[in-house]
Amino acid sequence: MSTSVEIVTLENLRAVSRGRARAYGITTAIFGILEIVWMGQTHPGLNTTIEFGANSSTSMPELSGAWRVIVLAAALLLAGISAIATTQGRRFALPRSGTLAVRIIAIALALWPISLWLHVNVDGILRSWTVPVHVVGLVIGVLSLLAGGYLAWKRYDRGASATLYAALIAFLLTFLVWVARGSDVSGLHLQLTSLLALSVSAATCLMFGSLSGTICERSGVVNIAIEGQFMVGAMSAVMFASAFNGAGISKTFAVLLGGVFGALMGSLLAVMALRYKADQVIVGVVIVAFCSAITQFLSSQVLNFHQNLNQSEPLPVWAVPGLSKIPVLGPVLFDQNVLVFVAVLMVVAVNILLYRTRWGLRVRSVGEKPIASETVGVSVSRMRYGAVILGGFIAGIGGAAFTVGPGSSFSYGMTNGYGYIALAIMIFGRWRPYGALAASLLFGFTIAMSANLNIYLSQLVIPQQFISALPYIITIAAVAGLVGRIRPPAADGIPFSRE
Amino acid sequence: MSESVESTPTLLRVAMRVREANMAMVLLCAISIAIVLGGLLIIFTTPLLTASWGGFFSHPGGTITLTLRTVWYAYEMIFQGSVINFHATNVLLHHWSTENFSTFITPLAGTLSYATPLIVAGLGLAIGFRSGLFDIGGRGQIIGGGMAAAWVGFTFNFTPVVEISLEIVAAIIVGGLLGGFAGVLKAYTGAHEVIVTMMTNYIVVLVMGYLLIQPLFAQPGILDGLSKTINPSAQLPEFLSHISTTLYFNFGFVFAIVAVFGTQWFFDRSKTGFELLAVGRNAEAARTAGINVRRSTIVTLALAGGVLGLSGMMQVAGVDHHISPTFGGSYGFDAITVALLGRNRPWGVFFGAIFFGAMATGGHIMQAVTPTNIDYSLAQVIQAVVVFCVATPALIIEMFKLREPARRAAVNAQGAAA
Repeated sequence: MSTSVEIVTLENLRAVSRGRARAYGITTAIFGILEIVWMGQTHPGLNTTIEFGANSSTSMPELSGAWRVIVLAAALLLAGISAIATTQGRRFALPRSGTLAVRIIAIALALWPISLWLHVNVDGILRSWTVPVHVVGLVIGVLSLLAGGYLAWKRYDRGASATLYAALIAFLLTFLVWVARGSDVSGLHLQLTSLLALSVSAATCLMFGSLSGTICERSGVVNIAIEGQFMVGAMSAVMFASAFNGAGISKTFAVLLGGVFGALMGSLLAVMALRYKADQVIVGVVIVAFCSAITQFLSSQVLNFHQNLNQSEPLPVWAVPGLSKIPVLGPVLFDQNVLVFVAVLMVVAVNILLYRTRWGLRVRSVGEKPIASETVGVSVSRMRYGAVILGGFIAGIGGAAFTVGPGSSFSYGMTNGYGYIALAIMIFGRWRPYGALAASLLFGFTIAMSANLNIYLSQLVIPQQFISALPYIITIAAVAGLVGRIRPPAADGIPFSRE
Repeated sequence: MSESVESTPTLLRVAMRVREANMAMVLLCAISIAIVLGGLLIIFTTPLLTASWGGFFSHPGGTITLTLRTVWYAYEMIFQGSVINFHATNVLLHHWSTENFSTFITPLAGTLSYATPLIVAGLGLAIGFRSGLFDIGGRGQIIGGGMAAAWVGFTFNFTPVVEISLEIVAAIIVGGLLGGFAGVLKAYTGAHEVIVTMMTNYIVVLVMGYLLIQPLFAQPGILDGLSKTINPSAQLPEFLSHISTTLYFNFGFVFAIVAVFGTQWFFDRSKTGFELLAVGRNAEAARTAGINVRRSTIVTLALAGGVLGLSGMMQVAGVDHHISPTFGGSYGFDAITVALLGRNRPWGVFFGAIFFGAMATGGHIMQAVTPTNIDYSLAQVIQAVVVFCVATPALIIEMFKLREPARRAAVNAQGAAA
């Protein structure tokens, strides 16, 4: 998307990524310092607390004393392995996704005995656990400062993004607490678990959208029509599911149908951009206008009179046996709508597709240097068609996540510009699936926070409009390259002709 | 080829042009596609018609007549509601009176007054498009300009000329700052202007929601987020209020025409305009030729924002006289499509906006009048299809097997694409 030209060599890239790690580290450290300062000046009478814990119904398997030690030791071992794999990448290599999985399992295992020791589990039932916020804030601040300083000193590239994202989320939370310090509202609770669970589900459609953008732009086509694909996907899915009363497998087909309609819009974009070489951004915006008009027409002309065509039960919530019992992380990650799992699997699948298959290699090469691909006999336009239609399909499923997923009915304008936010997330995630996953979670968090904390902060100093504006402000910061320099695919948005 | 065209008779020349991919033909084809598609939508979504098609084999003739009549009636209502009401014309011809004249002119006045701010907004976006920048933040900049103008309008109380000039200046400054913000980010960090302006839209809408409940803007005693009404001296004068008080058509239309000429002058005659066009065609070449692309980016977006702010001012001072939470609603997006429809040419934008005004005005009349209450968003579907076809003429050319025009339309197409 940017026009600057830079020569990419391996050395150059390493320098860039190490420089980025330093920038991330410094940012994290600054967050830490701010947090410490804020918590230091916290109002002494402040009752703000953070509530950890699960849904009260979640019970947790009991562990006897010896087993607790063993489990904790196992967790520490796994954490050590992941730490070595992160820092000593050359000598001890685990695949990136493997490291992530090991890390998650380690955290999960460690939380189990720790929470038992902390008497969270009384009568086999998880009780929520409240801590004074300034203590947590101070701890977070110190941790951020240490982690950021260490990162800036050692310049580890691999853990940099994760550290920054975590620090950013913690920063936003402490910021809100700090803002609330002057108020006299007593017993202000931040229900962390439900907030995080909400952010994961809010991130679902963003994950689909940003994956769609990633695939398309990796092949060199700007898919600005994600918003439109969301709309048609959302509408078609809910109509199909309602027509069958959400019976049996029909919801699965409804989601797929949403995808098909998204793919239809994607192929429209593909034909216009590839066959007729029209400007991709213009075509995308016009497709959004078309989708918006047609969904508005159909919803007021058809759905208004046939309410039974516009109601669907939510998709089943699937609690992963065992894992969903983990405090905090369990309800957040493993007790969610089925579509959330689909989204995460889709991230993994797209990553494999782009980086481990021949098709993916070709798509990426077509997005970087189409003339070279064409020279070795790869059809640029065929690769781009495939990528854009697949992207449309994924975005359509993301549309279904607006309606069929949570079981809400379609209303005009419900996509709320998330299609464009998804594009920003794609940039934030550096055109990589895992980056898109992390950035989606971050944005999901800000969305959940702005939706959720309005309740808490309605009578506080900060107007709710400014909290609602947070995702948009972060988006601007993201695309303005506040988090380091970004390099889009070289041929992004440039039509290709063989001559 | 062009010499032979010069010597042929006019009628033949027109006939030769029919299969040619000139603007008129593309537009004609686009509108016919839109009308067919809209007709199909009506047929599939009107319960009366779907029921009638269920009994197609028992009354084929009746079904087809009913369908055609319903579809025709909907389109006729769009036309009568936006251009000329046949009944009112008839009455006026038989009995000339101010009242009858007012009924006669109402549809046309509605169309033009809806189109007025849209013309200016479309011009603003066209400035961005022609220099290769896709300013999607129309809504935010319109709101910014409108808020500034409203503030001036209800705070000060000067003579109308001073007051309106002040409003214009305030609106242009705020809109220009909002646009220029995106321009600075684009120029210095490479942030894509589409995303930045889109996000500014959302932020500005939220800020407006906040300001409208603050004492600075809020109308005392009203809690639904309406701003104070601007002073009468700050309102744009109405042309037709002496005929009927319900007839709205204000002085803003003159501003709009001035803006069209101004934009034309800017692109055809001014140095900055030339630089913007050069950057739009080929930024690298422009850089090589010594044009400061960074500066040009900022100037373009600031200018576009300023013009959009002006259109917000015209909406406030001319039509609404206050700010409501839905202010600027779909104007920003409509302006994009208007600019694309007019292919970024000032007069194209002018007529594109009038087309949009007609569709909006007529669409609402259609919804109110047709017995099946066909929703007015049908007009938006038609607009979207027409814009789609006009923005990508290659599709139409292939569908209708049109010839390449004698004077290369490709040059135009490139200009629009850039």
